[in-house]
Amino acid sequence: MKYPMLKNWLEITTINDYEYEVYDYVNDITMNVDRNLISFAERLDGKTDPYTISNLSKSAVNIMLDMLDDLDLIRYSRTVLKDIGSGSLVYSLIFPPKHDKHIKAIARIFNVILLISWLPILIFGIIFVLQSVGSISLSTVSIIAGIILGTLIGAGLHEASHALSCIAYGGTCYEAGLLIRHFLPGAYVMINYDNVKSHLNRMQIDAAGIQMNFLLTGIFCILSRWTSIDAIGDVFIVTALANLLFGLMNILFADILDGFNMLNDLLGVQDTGIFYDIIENKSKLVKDKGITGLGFVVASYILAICQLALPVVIIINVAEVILCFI
Amino acid sequence: MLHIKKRSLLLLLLLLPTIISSLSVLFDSLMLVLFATALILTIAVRIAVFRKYANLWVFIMTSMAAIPVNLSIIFRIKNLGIVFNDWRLINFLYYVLVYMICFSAEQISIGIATRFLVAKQSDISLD
Repeated sequence: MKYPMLKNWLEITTINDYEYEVYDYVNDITMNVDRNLISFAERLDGKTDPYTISNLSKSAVNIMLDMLDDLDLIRYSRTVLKDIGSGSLVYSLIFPPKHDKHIKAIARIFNVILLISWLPILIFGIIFVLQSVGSISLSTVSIIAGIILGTLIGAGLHEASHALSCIAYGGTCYEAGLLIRHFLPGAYVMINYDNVKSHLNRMQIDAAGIQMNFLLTGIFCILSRWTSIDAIGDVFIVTALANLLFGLMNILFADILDGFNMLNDLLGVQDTGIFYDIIENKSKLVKDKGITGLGFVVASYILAICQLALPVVIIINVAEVILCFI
Repeated sequence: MLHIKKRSLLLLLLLLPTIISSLSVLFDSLMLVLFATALILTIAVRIAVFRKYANLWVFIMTSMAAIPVNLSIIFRIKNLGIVFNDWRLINFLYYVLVYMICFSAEQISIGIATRFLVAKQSDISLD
């Protein structure tokens, strides 16, 4: 990104002839901003020199850039949102276009196809492979190639599925990219589906990534037996296995995983921090709300235990890597 | 006194699916597992005090009722001679992971069914 760019997670609406209302989705802040400032800011796309945008003098452009910077409305690099936890970093890669009716139509078709096809194709793929395979002997090259292919395709389509499902239900996708969260690498999409009221639709948005991983498992299982070249078939088997594992890991109820978000949509939880508040105020809750309060407390403790899933996964992975060298 | 009796009855109802699922493991009966699942949904949907937060109560009942079923799955895997890792501690962690995956899948499946049955529920909040 050579030049400054208006942050893409801002929702801008007209108030009157002089002002816009700007909502910053990431920081959850709303502010009123001068119309001229926003008109200038909207032309900052990261590729255009701000001093060539309008007939403003250099000092006037500098003043506008300073004002936009003070309001935290512009960005200067693809690496932003640094304050998201220790050992965490975000790198923006893709800024989707505005969601016009064609994009929304494609998203809806994709979402429906994903919803109805992931389970049958997964089951068929696994049965197909189990019936046609005697024993498998995989070379190291096949395994490495399969893991790389599975990770690239699985992670990319996983996030794309979240984005498309969100757009299908009327939400917004701001951007997509790569991230490191608590030292774990991954990909992300920044989506806003606060306006989606149905709990099941919200759950489907969270589930779309996992469904895509399982769909890819089924597809690569089928492809592995269709190809006449054994080496390619072996790569596809490993790719299928990688996606199956991605999907299974992601349904766990650990905080940063999709399964946790899905459960919160089903339970009707807006802010996941509420479980900590419930545990802190457990006596008062049980006293005030009776058996319902008791239910809140018990569920919170169960979810606290579920957070052990992530450390278990990390310990297993680290142990397996270490044991490769012992 | 009546209030305490009602509360005790409700707590007993919550434990009933767990008792049924324990029996299902004892008698190796899939029908009893299905009956326990149906019972969970029926209790959450039909009893007014649970219906308002149906998904919450289904989550709690499933958490308890799934224990014997998921443990029996783990023991079946063990009895098949499947070893994930030669180190006992790591192998044990794999069993824990399998349990958690089964738990999550069961919760999501029954949670979706509950949302279809009871679309209108209150959100969980401290207010």
